[in-house]
Amino acid sequence: MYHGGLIEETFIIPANIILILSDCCGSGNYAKQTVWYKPFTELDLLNTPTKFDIIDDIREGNGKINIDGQKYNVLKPGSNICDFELETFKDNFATGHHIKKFDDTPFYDTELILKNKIKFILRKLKEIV
Amino acid sequence: MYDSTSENSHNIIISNSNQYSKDNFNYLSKSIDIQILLYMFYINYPEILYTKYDLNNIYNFISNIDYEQFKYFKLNIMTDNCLKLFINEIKKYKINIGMPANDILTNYNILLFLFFNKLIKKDIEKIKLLDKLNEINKTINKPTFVILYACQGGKSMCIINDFYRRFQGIDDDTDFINKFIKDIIDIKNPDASILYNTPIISINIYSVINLIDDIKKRIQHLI
Repeated sequence: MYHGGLIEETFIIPANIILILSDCCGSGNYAKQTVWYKPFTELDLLNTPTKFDIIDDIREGNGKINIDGQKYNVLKPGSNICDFELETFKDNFATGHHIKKFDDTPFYDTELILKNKIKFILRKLKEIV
Repeated sequence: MYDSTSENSHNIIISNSNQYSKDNFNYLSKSIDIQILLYMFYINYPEILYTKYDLNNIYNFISNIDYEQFKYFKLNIMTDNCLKLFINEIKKYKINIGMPANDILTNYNILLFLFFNKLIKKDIEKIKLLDKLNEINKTINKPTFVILYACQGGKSMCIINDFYRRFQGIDDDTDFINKFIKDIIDIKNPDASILYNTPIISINIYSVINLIDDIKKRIQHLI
C-alpha cells in the first residue's frame, strides 16, 4: 500500500505485464481500515486469486475487476498511461512488492514482515539507548 | 514578568500530551506482537535487551527467527505464563508523566512511548510506478498480473495512519503527534531541551536506562 498521485510523465506498460489500477485515478481512493489487512492476524487465511477466478472476473467485469469493493481497471501490455509517483517510507512493513503465484498462500510474506518488524524495533531501541 | 499565556500553552500541551499518551498507550500496551518479539529477544539475549546492543547478536536473532517460532510463542501464551509475568513485571514500574495524579504510566509504557515516537520519524521514499514495473519486468519473464494498491487521495487524506499500518489499529491525531514530537521529543541535547525545562514528561532517557536495568535484575528469576 502506497500513497501516490499521477504525474505528467507517461510510459508504456512493459510487454509482459498486465497492470491492474484503481479506476479513480487522481481522485479520492481512500483506503479504509476495514480493508486494511493485518499481517499477523489475518493474512494466513488469505490466498491470492486463482488464474481462473481473475480471468473470469476480468471477463465478467468487461475489463474491470472488483477488489474489496473498489473497482480496478485492467490495462493491457503496451498501453500508454500516466506515471504514478508512489510515496512510502523506510520500515513500512507492508509496503513493497510481493511476488505471488495464483492461489498462493499467504498473501504477504509474513515471515519477512516479522523480521522487518523485529529489525526495525531493535534498531530503534539501539538508537534510543 | 508572569506570562499567563505561556503557562496556559504549557498546560494545554500537558493536558493534550497526557490524553494522547493515555489513549495510545492503552492500545500499544496490548500489542501482543510487540510483547512477543521483545520476549523472544529477551529469551535469546537476556543480557543485552535492556542494556547494550550487540549488532551481531541482533542479526543472528533476526536471521534465525521464523514465523513458525513466532506462532509457537503466540500459541503458548495461554499455557506458558512467562510472557505474562515478564510484561507484568515491566508494567509495575510507574512513572509520573505529569499532572494530575491519575496520569500515571509505567515503565513499559515509557518504552513503548520511546519506540513509537521514534517510529514516526521516518525517511520518505518516492518511487515511480514505471521504475517498479521495470524492476518486476527484469525479474519475471512470464506474463504477470501486477495490482497496484495505492492510496491515491494523498497521504494527508488517507485515514489509515502509519501507526495503524505498522501496529494494527491505533487511530491517532497525526498533526498533534507531529507537533508533540517536534516540541518535546526531537532533541539532541536533553539538558537543553523542552523536556528538561518544562517537565511534561518528567524523565530523561538516562533515568529510563536505570529503571530498565533495575527491571532486568528483578525479572531474572522469572525466566
